[in-house]
Amino acid sequence: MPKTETYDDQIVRLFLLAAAVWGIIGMTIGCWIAAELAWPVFNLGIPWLSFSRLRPDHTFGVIFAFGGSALMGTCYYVVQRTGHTRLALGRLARFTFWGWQLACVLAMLTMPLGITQSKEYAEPEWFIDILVAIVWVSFGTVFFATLARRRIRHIYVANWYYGAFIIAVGLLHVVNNIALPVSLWKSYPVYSGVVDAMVQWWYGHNAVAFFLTAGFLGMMYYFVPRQAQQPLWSYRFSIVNFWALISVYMWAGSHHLMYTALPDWVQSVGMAFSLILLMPSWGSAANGLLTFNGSWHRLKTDPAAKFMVLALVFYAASTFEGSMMAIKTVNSLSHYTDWTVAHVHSGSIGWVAMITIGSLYAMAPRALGRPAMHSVRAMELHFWLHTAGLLLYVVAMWTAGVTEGLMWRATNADGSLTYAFIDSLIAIKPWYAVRWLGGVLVLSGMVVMAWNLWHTAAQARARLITPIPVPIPEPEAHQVPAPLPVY
Amino acid sequence: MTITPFWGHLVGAVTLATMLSFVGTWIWVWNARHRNKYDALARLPMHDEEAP
Repeated sequence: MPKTETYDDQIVRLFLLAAAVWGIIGMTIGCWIAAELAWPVFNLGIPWLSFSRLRPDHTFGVIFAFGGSALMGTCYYVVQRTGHTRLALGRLARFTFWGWQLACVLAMLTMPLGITQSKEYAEPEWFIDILVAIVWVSFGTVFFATLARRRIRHIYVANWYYGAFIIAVGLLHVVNNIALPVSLWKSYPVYSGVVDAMVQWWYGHNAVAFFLTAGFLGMMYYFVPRQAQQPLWSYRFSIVNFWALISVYMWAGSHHLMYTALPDWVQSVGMAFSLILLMPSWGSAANGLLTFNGSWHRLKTDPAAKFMVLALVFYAASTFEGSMMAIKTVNSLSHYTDWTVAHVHSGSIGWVAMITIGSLYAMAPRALGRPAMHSVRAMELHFWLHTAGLLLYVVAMWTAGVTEGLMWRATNADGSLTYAFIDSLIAIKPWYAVRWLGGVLVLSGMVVMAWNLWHTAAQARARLITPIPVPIPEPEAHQVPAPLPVY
Repeated sequence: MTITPFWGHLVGAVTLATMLSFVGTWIWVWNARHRNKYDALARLPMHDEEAP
């Protein structure tokens, strides 16, 4: 008698655990360095604890360790459910988990020690880059091998986004990290000068595009209809938005280099594409929000749905803000100020973290063999802590950023600067304290989530849960692709 | 960068091709023959709750 095929959720549970742990680590470091900016005494006179050394640990910790673990875990969950098949290459999938965790630990240990390429969001040195590349190719192999054995002919749109995320991030990582090692701890990039800057920001912006947008849109396109219990508002529209988004995003990176040595026409190209980018961004946000039509009552009782709706609102808001900031005249005010910090955190705490948390709350009970999360009240508390922290953070940094921009450009009648730099620092100092408070609230919410997940996972820890069988339809005549043998 | 007639024509051709492919994508996805398939796919994530 053939064995029943079941979903491989053990690997999903591992990534779920990793996401919860890395979220707390990455955000704790964020709160610590926010405190250092408000109260420099927190440097403790130790060079290893200075802002510049810890900041890459915060960004790498939240983007690649927390976000990456959540993306890989949900990707493995979604590709199985939307293909009605078990994950392919189980051992390789385990390697992607342990390899990714090793890469994150190595990166976060070496960066504060000064072992860094000094490329923003690509700081780890060459030997870690090679490990990341190997893990990433393995991740892609598992994903596409699973797609190849799917039982549903059409590839659901969430997988298109996950696929684009895997292919593009692999390409970006390899091209941006081509370097010549001179020792185990040091390498030099093959690019120099303005070419190096352009390659770096082609990478940097597309890390936002394909890691922080396409990947999380994959999450959104699966978990929003599932949580709303409504069909996706327009499947057709999701396809148009997919092709528009991936065609346009690659060309917007130069908006990070406005008013630099980069040729002016390249800056203009970046500005134009950034403005066009608003359309597919709002298209996906609208598609997600309209999916809740007929299901808005769920927001009263389901904190996961609340996280998703607010994530989509912040996705729309931060992409609008990003397009506006790419306009040269706006950029001349915002660049190098805390407005940029506000923008990136409205995107990361608002969009990325909230869609992740909503999706994890939606996925965790299923992956952990429970009918629901352990505590809905704790989810509710998490939602309000996160929302309050997010609002405090972005309002503080918007205010600080515009204050800085206006003070830096103010001139007297004779053309001299009205303010010294220190004047702007003194003016924004209270907002740095508010920003720290916002961060602490967001971090507190993450601790509440970890507590909730721990209790939801009680039966999984005791190995009392049974794997979920794959729903395999009765074979139809001439079904293409033919149903795979159950193993 | 100096825009020569060659670059001007190339930029125009690429812009036109991009516009046509964009419009073509809309026409393709709104083709009536995809309706049943897309309607079924839009409901696919909801099956997870119904799974045994």
